[in-house]
Amino acid sequence: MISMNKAPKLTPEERKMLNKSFYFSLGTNMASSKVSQQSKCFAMAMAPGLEMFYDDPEDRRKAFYRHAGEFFNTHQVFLGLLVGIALAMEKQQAEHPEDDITETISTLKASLMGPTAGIGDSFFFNCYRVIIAGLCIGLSANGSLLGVILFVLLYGCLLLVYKYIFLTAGYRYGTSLITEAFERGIVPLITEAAGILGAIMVGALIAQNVSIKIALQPVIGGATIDFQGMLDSIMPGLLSLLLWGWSFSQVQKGWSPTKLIFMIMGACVVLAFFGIL
Amino acid sequence: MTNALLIAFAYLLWQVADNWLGWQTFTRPLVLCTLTGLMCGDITTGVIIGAELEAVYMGVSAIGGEAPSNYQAASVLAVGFVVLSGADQGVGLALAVTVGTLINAVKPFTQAIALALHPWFMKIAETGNVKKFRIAMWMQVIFVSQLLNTIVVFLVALGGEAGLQTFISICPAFIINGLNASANMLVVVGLCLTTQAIWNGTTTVMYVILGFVAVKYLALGTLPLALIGIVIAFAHFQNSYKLAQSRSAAAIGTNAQEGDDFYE
Repeated sequence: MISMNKAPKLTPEERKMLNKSFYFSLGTNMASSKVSQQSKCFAMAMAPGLEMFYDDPEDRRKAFYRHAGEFFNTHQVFLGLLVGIALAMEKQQAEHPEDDITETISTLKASLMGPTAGIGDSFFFNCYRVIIAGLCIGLSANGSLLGVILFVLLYGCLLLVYKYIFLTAGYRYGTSLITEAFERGIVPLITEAAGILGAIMVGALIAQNVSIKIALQPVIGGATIDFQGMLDSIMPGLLSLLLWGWSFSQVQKGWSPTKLIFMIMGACVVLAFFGIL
Repeated sequence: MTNALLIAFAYLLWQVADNWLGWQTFTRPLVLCTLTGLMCGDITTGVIIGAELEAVYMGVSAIGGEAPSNYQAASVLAVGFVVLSGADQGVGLALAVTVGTLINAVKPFTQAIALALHPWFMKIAETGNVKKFRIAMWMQVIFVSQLLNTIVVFLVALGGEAGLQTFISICPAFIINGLNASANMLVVVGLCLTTQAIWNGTTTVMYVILGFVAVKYLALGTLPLALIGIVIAFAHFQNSYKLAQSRSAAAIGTNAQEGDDFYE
Protein backbone atom coordinates (compact mmCIF):
# COMPACT_ATOMS: atom_id res chain seq x y z
CA MET A 1 0.00 0.00 0.00
CA ILE A 2 2.79 2.40 0.90
CA SER A 3 5.95 2.42 -1.16
CA MET A 4 8.75 0.86 0.83
CA ASN A 5 11.58 1.45 -1.63
CA LYS A 6 14.52 3.78 -1.11
CA ALA A 7 14.69 2.96 2.59
CA PRO A 8 18.25 3.53 3.79
CA LYS A 9 19.81 0.75 5.86
CA LEU A 10 20.51 1.60 9.49
CA THR A 11 24.13 1.78 10.61
CA PRO A 12 25.01 0.02 13.91
CA GLU A 13 25.40 3.45 15.58
CA GLU A 14 21.96 4.48 14.38
CA ARG A 15 20.48 1.20 15.62
CA LYS A 16 22.05 1.81 19.03
CA MET A 17 20.76 5.38 19.10
CA LEU A 18 17.23 4.22 18.17
CA ASN A 19 17.31 1.59 20.94
CA LYS A 20 18.15 4.26 23.50
CA SER A 21 15.52 6.57 22.07
CA PHE A 22 12.97 3.75 22.28
CA TYR A 23 13.76 3.21 25.98
CA PHE A 24 13.18 6.89 26.76
CA SER A 25 10.07 7.02 24.58
CA LEU A 26 8.37 4.55 26.92
CA GLY A 27 7.81 7.03 29.75
CA THR A 28 4.84 8.83 28.18
CA ASN A 29 3.12 9.08 31.55
CA MET A 30 6.24 9.99 33.50
CA ALA A 31 6.09 13.57 34.66
CA SER A 32 3.34 14.73 32.35
CA SER A 33 1.48 17.89 33.24
CA LYS A 34 -1.42 19.84 31.79
CA VAL A 35 0.97 22.42 30.33
CA SER A 36 2.76 20.27 27.81
CA GLN A 37 1.52 16.67 28.40
CA GLN A 38 4.09 14.25 26.98
CA SER A 39 6.69 16.84 25.95
CA LYS A 40 9.21 15.72 28.58
CA CYS A 41 9.07 12.15 27.35
CA PHE A 42 9.37 13.37 23.76
CA ALA A 43 12.43 15.48 24.56
CA MET A 44 14.09 12.53 26.36
CA ALA A 45 13.41 10.27 23.37
CA MET A 46 15.03 12.87 21.10
CA ALA A 47 18.11 13.27 23.32
CA PRO A 48 20.11 10.24 22.03
CA GLY A 49 19.60 11.42 18.45
CA LEU A 50 20.50 15.03 19.20
CA GLU A 51 23.67 13.78 20.89
CA MET A 52 24.59 11.90 17.72
CA PHE A 53 23.63 14.49 15.07
CA TYR A 54 24.77 17.79 16.57
CA ASP A 55 28.48 18.40 17.13
CA ASP A 56 27.97 21.76 18.82
CA PRO A 57 26.62 21.36 22.41
CA GLU A 58 24.85 24.71 22.01
CA ASP A 59 22.78 23.38 19.06
CA ARG A 60 22.05 20.23 21.03
CA ARG A 61 20.88 22.23 24.05
CA LYS A 62 18.65 24.43 21.92
CA ALA A 63 17.01 21.45 20.20
CA PHE A 64 16.41 19.64 23.52
CA TYR A 65 14.89 22.77 25.05
CA ARG A 66 12.68 23.19 22.00
CA HIS A 67 11.26 19.65 22.28
CA ALA A 68 10.90 19.82 26.08
CA GLY A 69 8.71 22.90 25.87
CA GLU A 70 6.43 22.03 22.95
CA PHE A 71 3.02 20.66 23.91
CA PHE A 72 2.76 17.09 22.74
CA ASN A 73 0.06 14.48 23.23
CA THR A 74 -0.75 11.37 21.23
CA HIS A 75 -1.21 7.64 21.59
CA GLN A 76 1.89 5.94 22.98
CA VAL A 77 2.47 3.70 19.94
CA PHE A 78 2.26 6.66 17.58
CA LEU A 79 4.57 8.64 19.82
CA GLY A 80 7.19 6.16 18.61
CA LEU A 81 6.39 6.93 14.98
CA LEU A 82 6.54 10.69 15.49
CA VAL A 83 9.78 10.44 17.49
CA GLY A 84 11.25 8.46 14.58
CA ILE A 85 10.12 11.07 12.04
CA ALA A 86 11.36 13.95 14.20
CA LEU A 87 14.74 12.21 14.58
CA ALA A 88 15.05 11.88 10.80
CA MET A 89 14.27 15.58 10.46
CA GLU A 90 16.67 16.65 13.19
CA LYS A 91 19.36 14.71 11.37
CA GLN A 92 18.61 16.69 8.23
CA GLN A 93 18.64 19.92 10.23
CA ALA A 94 22.05 19.07 11.72
CA GLU A 95 23.46 18.21 8.30
CA HIS A 96 21.98 21.22 6.51
CA PRO A 97 21.56 23.98 9.12
CA GLU A 98 21.33 26.55 6.31
CA ASP A 99 17.84 25.26 5.33
CA ASP A 100 16.57 25.67 8.92
CA ILE A 101 13.66 23.24 9.13
CA THR A 102 13.17 23.58 12.93
CA GLU A 103 9.82 25.26 12.36
CA THR A 104 8.76 22.44 10.02
CA ILE A 105 9.62 19.91 12.75
CA SER A 106 7.40 21.74 15.24
CA THR A 107 4.55 22.12 12.76
CA LEU A 108 4.73 18.48 11.75
CA LYS A 109 4.58 17.34 15.39
CA ALA A 110 1.65 19.65 16.10
CA SER A 111 -0.29 18.64 13.00
CA LEU A 112 0.27 14.90 13.31
CA MET A 113 -0.32 14.36 17.02
CA GLY A 114 -4.09 14.92 16.77
CA PRO A 115 -4.89 12.50 13.92
CA THR A 116 -2.44 9.87 15.18
CA ALA A 117 -3.95 10.09 18.67
CA GLY A 118 -7.32 9.51 17.01
CA ILE A 119 -6.18 6.40 15.12
CA GLY A 120 -4.23 5.11 18.12
CA ASP A 121 -7.16 5.41 20.49
CA SER A 122 -9.72 4.04 18.05
CA PHE A 123 -7.56 1.12 16.99
CA PHE A 124 -5.34 0.14 19.94
CA PHE A 125 -7.58 1.26 22.77
CA ASN A 126 -11.14 0.78 21.57
CA CYS A 127 -10.67 -2.17 19.25
CA TYR A 128 -7.46 -4.12 19.89
CA ARG A 129 -7.61 -3.84 23.68
CA VAL A 130 -11.34 -4.54 23.85
CA ILE A 131 -10.82 -7.79 21.94
CA ILE A 132 -7.85 -8.90 24.05
CA ALA A 133 -9.54 -7.88 27.31
CA GLY A 134 -12.78 -9.59 26.30
CA LEU A 135 -10.89 -12.78 25.58
CA CYS A 136 -8.88 -12.61 28.82
CA ILE A 137 -11.82 -11.69 31.06
CA GLY A 138 -13.52 -14.86 29.85
CA LEU A 139 -10.42 -16.96 30.53
CA SER A 140 -9.83 -15.50 33.99
CA ALA A 141 -13.40 -15.30 35.29
CA ASN A 142 -12.84 -18.51 37.25
CA GLY A 143 -9.48 -17.37 38.63
CA SER A 144 -7.23 -18.81 35.94
CA LEU A 145 -3.90 -17.02 35.48
CA LEU A 146 -3.95 -17.79 31.76
CA GLY A 147 -6.06 -14.73 30.94
CA VAL A 148 -3.78 -12.41 32.90
CA ILE A 149 -0.62 -13.73 31.25
CA LEU A 150 -2.18 -13.53 27.79
CA PHE A 151 -3.27 -9.96 28.46
CA VAL A 152 0.25 -8.90 29.44
CA LEU A 153 1.77 -10.65 26.41
CA LEU A 154 -0.81 -9.76 23.75
CA TYR A 155 -1.60 -6.25 24.93
CA GLY A 156 1.31 -4.82 26.92
CA CYS A 157 4.23 -6.57 25.27
CA LEU A 158 2.93 -6.37 21.71
CA LEU A 159 2.25 -2.64 22.12
CA LEU A 160 5.93 -2.20 22.92
CA VAL A 161 6.86 -4.24 19.84
CA TYR A 162 4.58 -2.11 17.65
CA LYS A 163 6.07 1.03 19.14
CA TYR A 164 9.61 -0.13 18.37
CA ILE A 165 8.66 -1.00 14.79
CA PHE A 166 6.92 2.38 14.39
CA LEU A 167 9.88 4.27 15.80
CA THR A 168 12.43 2.65 13.49
CA ALA A 169 10.06 2.89 10.51
CA GLY A 170 9.46 6.57 11.25
CA TYR A 171 13.19 7.19 11.28
CA ARG A 172 13.88 5.22 8.11
CA TYR A 173 11.02 6.43 5.93
CA GLY A 174 10.83 9.89 7.42
CA THR A 175 7.83 11.95 6.51
CA SER A 176 6.90 10.15 3.29
CA LEU A 177 5.29 7.29 5.23
CA ILE A 178 2.64 9.27 7.05
CA THR A 179 1.88 11.86 4.37
CA GLU A 180 1.19 9.05 1.92
CA ALA A 181 -1.25 7.33 4.28
CA PHE A 182 -3.10 10.60 4.85
CA GLU A 183 -3.10 11.61 1.19
CA ARG A 184 -4.71 8.33 0.22
CA GLY A 185 -7.53 9.12 2.65
CA ILE A 186 -7.51 5.64 4.21
CA VAL A 187 -7.30 6.87 7.80
CA PRO A 188 -11.04 7.53 8.34
CA LEU A 189 -11.81 4.20 6.66
CA ILE A 190 -9.54 2.33 9.08
CA THR A 191 -11.17 4.12 12.02
CA GLU A 192 -14.61 3.12 10.77
CA ALA A 193 -13.65 -0.54 10.25
CA ALA A 194 -12.05 -0.67 13.70
CA GLY A 195 -15.28 0.75 15.12
CA ILE A 196 -17.28 -2.16 13.68
CA LEU A 197 -15.00 -4.70 15.33
CA GLY A 198 -15.22 -2.75 18.57
CA ALA A 199 -19.03 -2.70 18.45
CA ILE A 200 -19.21 -6.48 17.98
CA MET A 201 -16.96 -6.96 21.00
CA VAL A 202 -19.09 -4.57 23.08
CA GLY A 203 -22.11 -6.74 22.26
CA ALA A 204 -20.20 -9.87 23.27
CA LEU A 205 -19.12 -8.30 26.56
CA ILE A 206 -22.67 -7.24 27.40
CA ALA A 207 -23.77 -10.84 26.84
CA GLN A 208 -20.98 -12.24 29.02
CA ASN A 209 -20.72 -9.77 31.85
CA VAL A 210 -23.91 -7.83 32.42
CA SER A 211 -26.52 -9.76 34.32
CA ILE A 212 -29.79 -8.66 35.88
CA LYS A 213 -31.87 -11.16 37.78
CA ILE A 214 -35.33 -10.29 39.03
CA ALA A 215 -35.96 -12.00 42.32
CA LEU A 216 -39.58 -10.87 42.63
CA GLN A 217 -41.99 -13.82 42.42
CA PRO A 218 -45.31 -12.63 43.72
CA VAL A 219 -48.04 -15.17 44.43
CA ILE A 220 -51.30 -13.91 43.00
CA GLY A 221 -54.40 -16.07 43.37
CA GLY A 222 -52.31 -19.12 44.24
CA ALA A 223 -50.18 -18.88 41.10
CA THR A 224 -46.52 -17.83 41.33
CA ILE A 225 -45.57 -15.23 38.76
CA ASP A 226 -41.96 -15.75 37.74
CA PHE A 227 -40.93 -12.47 36.09
CA GLN A 228 -37.41 -13.64 35.23
CA GLY A 229 -38.76 -16.80 33.63
CA MET A 230 -41.24 -14.76 31.57
CA LEU A 231 -38.53 -12.40 30.36
CA ASP A 232 -36.25 -15.32 29.53
CA SER A 233 -38.98 -16.91 27.43
CA ILE A 234 -39.20 -13.68 25.41
CA MET A 235 -35.48 -13.06 25.08
CA PRO A 236 -32.74 -14.05 27.51
CA GLY A 237 -30.56 -11.10 28.45
CA LEU A 238 -33.14 -8.59 27.23
CA LEU A 239 -32.70 -6.49 30.38
CA SER A 240 -28.92 -6.35 29.89
CA LEU A 241 -29.32 -4.90 26.40
CA LEU A 242 -31.95 -2.44 27.62
CA LEU A 243 -29.69 -1.34 30.47
CA TRP A 244 -26.89 -0.73 27.98
CA GLY A 245 -29.22 1.23 25.68
CA TRP A 246 -30.51 3.38 28.51
CA SER A 247 -27.07 4.01 30.03
CA PHE A 248 -25.63 4.94 26.66
CA SER A 249 -28.41 7.41 25.93
CA GLN A 250 -27.67 9.04 29.30
CA VAL A 251 -23.95 9.20 28.50
CA GLN A 252 -24.82 10.82 25.15
CA LYS A 253 -26.93 13.35 27.05
CA GLY A 254 -23.81 14.30 28.97
CA TRP A 255 -24.08 12.21 32.14
CA SER A 256 -20.67 11.60 33.66
CA PRO A 257 -19.64 7.96 34.29
CA THR A 258 -19.52 8.82 37.99
CA LYS A 259 -23.15 9.90 37.99
CA LEU A 260 -24.12 6.77 36.07
CA ILE A 261 -22.29 4.51 38.53
CA PHE A 262 -24.04 6.09 41.52
CA MET A 263 -27.43 6.05 39.81
CA ILE A 264 -27.13 2.32 39.06
CA MET A 265 -25.93 1.55 42.58
CA GLY A 266 -28.68 3.65 44.14
CA ALA A 267 -31.36 2.11 41.93
CA CYS A 268 -30.15 -1.39 42.81
CA VAL A 269 -30.32 -0.73 46.54
CA VAL A 270 -33.82 0.78 46.21
CA LEU A 271 -35.01 -2.16 44.08
CA ALA A 272 -33.46 -4.61 46.53
CA PHE A 273 -35.33 -2.85 49.35
CA PHE A 274 -38.61 -3.66 47.60
CA GLY A 275 -37.41 -7.21 46.96
CA ILE A 276 -37.37 -6.80 43.21
CA LEU A 277 -33.67 -7.62 42.74
CA MET B 1 -1.89 -1.18 59.74
CA THR B 2 0.43 -3.64 57.98
CA ASN B 3 -2.35 -4.59 55.60
CA ALA B 4 -3.09 -0.96 54.77
CA LEU B 5 0.61 -0.31 54.17
CA LEU B 6 0.74 -3.34 51.89
CA ILE B 7 -2.20 -2.10 49.82
CA ALA B 8 -0.80 1.43 49.55
CA PHE B 9 2.61 0.02 48.59
CA ALA B 10 1.07 -2.22 45.92
CA TYR B 11 -0.72 0.82 44.51
CA LEU B 12 2.40 2.99 44.34
CA LEU B 13 4.74 0.26 43.12
CA TRP B 14 2.72 -0.81 40.09
CA GLN B 15 1.70 2.71 39.23
CA VAL B 16 5.35 3.80 39.06
CA ALA B 17 6.40 0.65 37.18
CA ASP B 18 3.60 1.19 34.67
CA ASN B 19 4.44 4.85 34.13
CA TRP B 20 8.06 3.89 33.55
CA LEU B 21 7.05 1.54 30.73
CA GLY B 22 4.13 3.78 29.72
CA TRP B 23 2.10 0.78 28.63
CA GLN B 24 -1.11 0.85 30.73
CA THR B 25 -0.85 -2.85 31.42
CA PHE B 26 0.30 -3.21 35.05
CA THR B 27 -2.42 -0.75 36.01
CA ARG B 28 -5.26 -2.46 34.11
CA PRO B 29 -7.56 -4.02 36.75
CA LEU B 30 -7.04 -7.55 35.41
CA VAL B 31 -3.27 -7.37 35.93
CA LEU B 32 -3.19 -5.03 38.93
CA CYS B 33 -5.69 -7.12 40.94
CA THR B 34 -3.67 -10.26 40.18
CA LEU B 35 -0.44 -8.62 41.32
CA THR B 36 -2.11 -7.22 44.45
CA GLY B 37 -3.67 -10.63 45.12
CA LEU B 38 -0.20 -12.16 44.84
CA MET B 39 1.17 -9.65 47.35
CA CYS B 40 -1.76 -10.31 49.73
CA GLY B 41 -1.41 -14.05 49.45
CA ASP B 42 -4.54 -14.97 47.49
CA ILE B 43 -3.80 -14.82 43.80
CA THR B 44 -6.95 -16.67 42.63
CA THR B 45 -9.31 -14.19 44.28
CA GLY B 46 -7.18 -11.41 42.83
CA VAL B 47 -7.63 -12.81 39.30
CA ILE B 48 -11.41 -13.22 39.74
CA ILE B 49 -11.84 -9.65 41.04
CA GLY B 50 -9.54 -8.41 38.30
CA ALA B 51 -11.60 -10.05 35.56
CA GLU B 52 -14.74 -8.44 36.94
CA LEU B 53 -13.23 -4.96 37.38
CA GLU B 54 -11.57 -5.09 33.95
CA ALA B 55 -15.05 -5.33 32.45
CA VAL B 56 -16.35 -2.51 34.68
CA TYR B 57 -13.51 -0.23 33.57
CA MET B 58 -13.45 -1.40 29.97
CA GLY B 59 -13.87 2.04 28.42
CA VAL B 60 -11.93 3.93 31.03
CA SER B 61 -8.35 4.88 30.28
CA ALA B 62 -5.81 7.25 31.66
CA ILE B 63 -5.28 8.95 28.31
CA GLY B 64 -3.78 12.31 29.16
CA GLY B 65 -4.36 11.50 32.84
CA GLU B 66 -8.07 12.18 32.34
CA ALA B 67 -9.69 9.06 33.77
CA PRO B 68 -13.19 9.69 35.15
CA SER B 69 -12.52 7.19 37.89
CA ASN B 70 -9.30 6.03 39.51
CA TYR B 71 -9.58 2.37 38.54
CA GLN B 72 -6.11 1.63 39.87
CA ALA B 73 -7.11 2.61 43.41
CA ALA B 74 -10.39 0.73 43.04
CA SER B 75 -8.47 -2.39 41.94
CA VAL B 76 -6.03 -2.55 44.88
CA LEU B 77 -8.75 -1.63 47.38
CA ALA B 78 -11.19 -4.23 46.04
CA VAL B 79 -8.58 -6.94 46.53
CA GLY B 80 -7.71 -5.51 49.94
CA PHE B 81 -11.35 -5.44 51.07
CA VAL B 82 -12.06 -8.99 49.92
CA VAL B 83 -8.79 -10.79 50.65
CA LEU B 84 -7.53 -8.95 53.73
CA SER B 85 -10.77 -7.72 55.34
CA GLY B 86 -12.92 -10.68 54.28
CA ALA B 87 -15.71 -8.67 52.65
CA ASP B 88 -18.27 -10.24 50.36
CA GLN B 89 -17.03 -9.93 46.77
CA GLY B 90 -19.94 -7.85 45.49
CA VAL B 91 -19.77 -5.49 48.45
CA GLY B 92 -16.00 -5.17 48.18
CA LEU B 93 -16.29 -4.31 44.49
CA ALA B 94 -19.07 -1.77 44.98
CA LEU B 95 -17.19 0.00 47.78
CA ALA B 96 -13.91 0.01 45.89
CA VAL B 97 -15.59 1.46 42.80
CA THR B 98 -17.11 4.18 44.96
CA VAL B 99 -13.76 5.06 46.53
CA GLY B 100 -12.13 4.99 43.07
CA THR B 101 -14.59 7.65 41.98
CA LEU B 102 -14.31 9.75 45.12
CA ILE B 103 -10.50 9.67 45.10
CA ASN B 104 -10.61 11.94 42.05
CA ALA B 105 -11.34 14.73 44.51
CA VAL B 106 -7.59 15.04 45.17
CA LYS B 107 -6.79 15.15 41.43
CA PRO B 108 -6.88 18.95 41.09
CA PHE B 109 -4.20 19.19 43.81
CA THR B 110 -1.94 16.67 42.13
CA GLN B 111 -2.39 18.49 38.82
CA ALA B 112 -1.59 21.81 40.47
CA ILE B 113 1.67 20.39 41.84
CA ALA B 114 2.58 19.04 38.39
CA LEU B 115 1.89 22.48 36.91
CA ALA B 116 4.03 24.15 39.54
CA LEU B 117 6.90 21.81 38.69
CA HIS B 118 6.81 22.68 34.98
CA PRO B 119 8.99 25.83 35.16
CA TRP B 120 11.58 23.84 37.12
CA PHE B 121 11.71 21.24 34.33
CA MET B 122 12.07 23.96 31.70
CA LYS B 123 14.97 25.49 33.63
CA ILE B 124 16.78 22.14 33.61
CA ALA B 125 15.99 21.71 29.91
CA GLU B 126 17.44 25.14 29.19
CA THR B 127 20.79 24.09 30.62
CA GLY B 128 20.71 21.05 28.32
CA ASN B 129 21.45 18.68 31.20
CA VAL B 130 19.67 15.57 29.94
CA LYS B 131 20.68 13.35 32.88
CA LYS B 132 19.35 15.79 35.45
CA PHE B 133 16.16 16.14 33.41
CA ARG B 134 15.64 12.36 33.52
CA ILE B 135 16.27 12.27 37.28
CA ALA B 136 13.71 15.04 37.73
CA MET B 137 11.20 12.94 35.79
CA TRP B 138 11.85 10.00 38.12
CA MET B 139 11.41 12.26 41.15
CA GLN B 140 8.04 13.43 39.90
CA VAL B 141 6.72 9.98 39.06
CA ILE B 142 7.82 8.42 42.38
CA PHE B 143 7.22 11.20 44.87
CA VAL B 144 4.73 13.63 43.35
CA SER B 145 2.33 12.11 40.80
CA GLN B 146 0.86 9.46 43.09
CA LEU B 147 1.64 10.91 46.53
CA LEU B 148 -1.84 12.15 47.44
CA ASN B 149 -3.57 9.15 45.86
CA THR B 150 -1.32 6.74 47.77
CA ILE B 151 -2.09 8.51 51.05
CA VAL B 152 -5.84 8.29 50.39
CA VAL B 153 -5.57 4.61 49.43
CA PHE B 154 -3.65 3.98 52.65
CA LEU B 155 -6.22 5.80 54.80
CA VAL B 156 -9.16 4.05 53.14
CA ALA B 157 -7.48 0.67 53.51
CA LEU B 158 -6.67 1.49 57.15
CA GLY B 159 -10.21 2.58 57.96
CA GLY B 160 -11.55 -0.20 55.79
CA GLU B 161 -10.28 -3.04 57.96
CA ALA B 162 -12.27 -2.01 61.02
CA GLY B 163 -14.87 0.13 59.29
CA LEU B 164 -15.86 -2.54 56.81
CA GLN B 165 -16.57 -5.09 59.53
CA THR B 166 -18.78 -2.63 61.42
CA PHE B 167 -20.49 -1.60 58.21
CA ILE B 168 -21.29 -5.18 57.25
CA SER B 169 -22.57 -6.10 60.71
CA ILE B 170 -24.96 -3.15 61.03
CA CYS B 171 -25.92 -2.92 57.38
CA PRO B 172 -29.43 -4.13 56.41
CA ALA B 173 -29.45 -7.15 54.09
CA PHE B 174 -31.13 -5.29 51.23
CA ILE B 175 -28.19 -2.90 50.88
CA ILE B 176 -25.79 -5.83 50.60
CA ASN B 177 -28.12 -7.49 48.06
CA GLY B 178 -28.47 -4.27 46.10
CA LEU B 179 -24.72 -3.67 46.00
CA ASN B 180 -24.13 -7.27 44.97
CA ALA B 181 -26.67 -6.92 42.15
CA SER B 182 -25.17 -3.60 41.04
CA ALA B 183 -21.70 -5.18 40.74
CA ASN B 184 -23.07 -7.20 37.81
CA MET B 185 -24.52 -4.09 36.17
CA LEU B 186 -21.71 -1.56 36.59
CA VAL B 187 -19.91 -3.30 33.72
CA VAL B 188 -22.33 -1.47 31.47
CA VAL B 189 -20.81 1.91 32.40
CA GLY B 190 -17.41 1.02 30.98
CA LEU B 191 -19.01 -0.47 27.88
CA CYS B 192 -20.99 2.74 27.34
CA LEU B 193 -17.77 4.76 27.28
CA THR B 194 -16.33 2.38 24.70
CA THR B 195 -19.54 2.69 22.70
CA GLN B 196 -19.27 6.46 22.80
CA ALA B 197 -15.71 6.33 21.50
CA ILE B 198 -16.64 4.18 18.50
CA TRP B 199 -20.15 5.65 18.02
CA ASN B 200 -21.28 5.66 14.39
CA GLY B 201 -25.05 5.84 14.73
CA THR B 202 -27.30 2.88 14.00
CA THR B 203 -24.39 0.93 12.49
CA THR B 204 -22.87 0.62 15.95
CA VAL B 205 -26.16 -0.56 17.48
CA MET B 206 -26.53 -3.23 14.79
CA TYR B 207 -23.05 -4.62 15.35
CA VAL B 208 -23.51 -4.57 19.13
CA ILE B 209 -26.65 -6.68 18.64
CA LEU B 210 -24.70 -9.03 16.37
CA GLY B 211 -22.02 -9.54 19.02
CA PHE B 212 -24.64 -10.00 21.74
CA VAL B 213 -26.62 -12.58 19.79
CA ALA B 214 -23.50 -14.47 18.72
CA VAL B 215 -22.42 -14.96 22.33
CA LYS B 216 -25.77 -15.31 24.08
CA TYR B 217 -27.64 -17.52 21.60
CA LEU B 218 -25.00 -19.08 19.36
CA ALA B 219 -22.70 -19.59 22.39
CA LEU B 220 -19.75 -18.41 20.32
CA GLY B 221 -16.45 -17.88 22.16
CA THR B 222 -14.70 -14.49 22.14
CA LEU B 223 -11.88 -15.56 19.84
CA PRO B 224 -14.04 -17.05 17.03
CA LEU B 225 -16.29 -14.01 17.27
CA ALA B 226 -13.30 -11.67 17.07
CA LEU B 227 -12.14 -13.48 13.93
CA ILE B 228 -15.57 -13.16 12.34
CA GLY B 229 -15.49 -9.48 13.34
CA ILE B 230 -12.13 -9.03 11.64
CA VAL B 231 -13.56 -10.51 8.43
CA ILE B 232 -16.55 -8.16 8.56
CA ALA B 233 -14.36 -5.13 9.35
CA PHE B 234 -11.97 -6.05 6.52
CA ALA B 235 -14.81 -6.47 4.02
CA HIS B 236 -16.22 -3.12 5.12
CA PHE B 237 -12.84 -1.43 4.78
CA GLN B 238 -12.28 -2.88 1.31
CA ASN B 239 -15.72 -1.82 0.09
CA SER B 240 -15.46 1.73 1.35
CA TYR B 241 -11.89 1.98 0.02
CA LYS B 242 -13.07 0.95 -3.45
CA LEU B 243 -15.99 3.35 -3.19
CA ALA B 244 -13.70 6.21 -2.19
CA GLN B 245 -11.35 5.36 -5.06
CA SER B 246 -14.08 5.26 -7.69
CA ARG B 247 -15.47 8.51 -6.27
CA SER B 248 -12.16 10.31 -6.54
CA ALA B 249 -11.68 8.83 -10.02
CA ALA B 250 -15.12 10.13 -11.01
CA ALA B 251 -14.28 13.54 -9.54
CA ILE B 252 -11.07 13.68 -11.59
CA GLY B 253 -13.06 12.64 -14.68
CA THR B 254 -15.58 15.50 -14.35
CA ASN B 255 -12.81 17.98 -13.65
CA ALA B 256 -11.01 16.94 -16.81
CA GLN B 257 -14.21 17.33 -18.80
CA GLU B 258 -14.86 20.75 -17.40
CA GLY B 259 -11.32 21.66 -18.31
CA ASP B 260 -11.93 20.54 -21.88
CA ASP B 261 -15.07 22.62 -22.14
CA PHE B 262 -13.18 25.63 -20.93
CA TYR B 263 -10.53 25.37 -23.57
CA GLU B 264 -12.88 24.58 -26.41
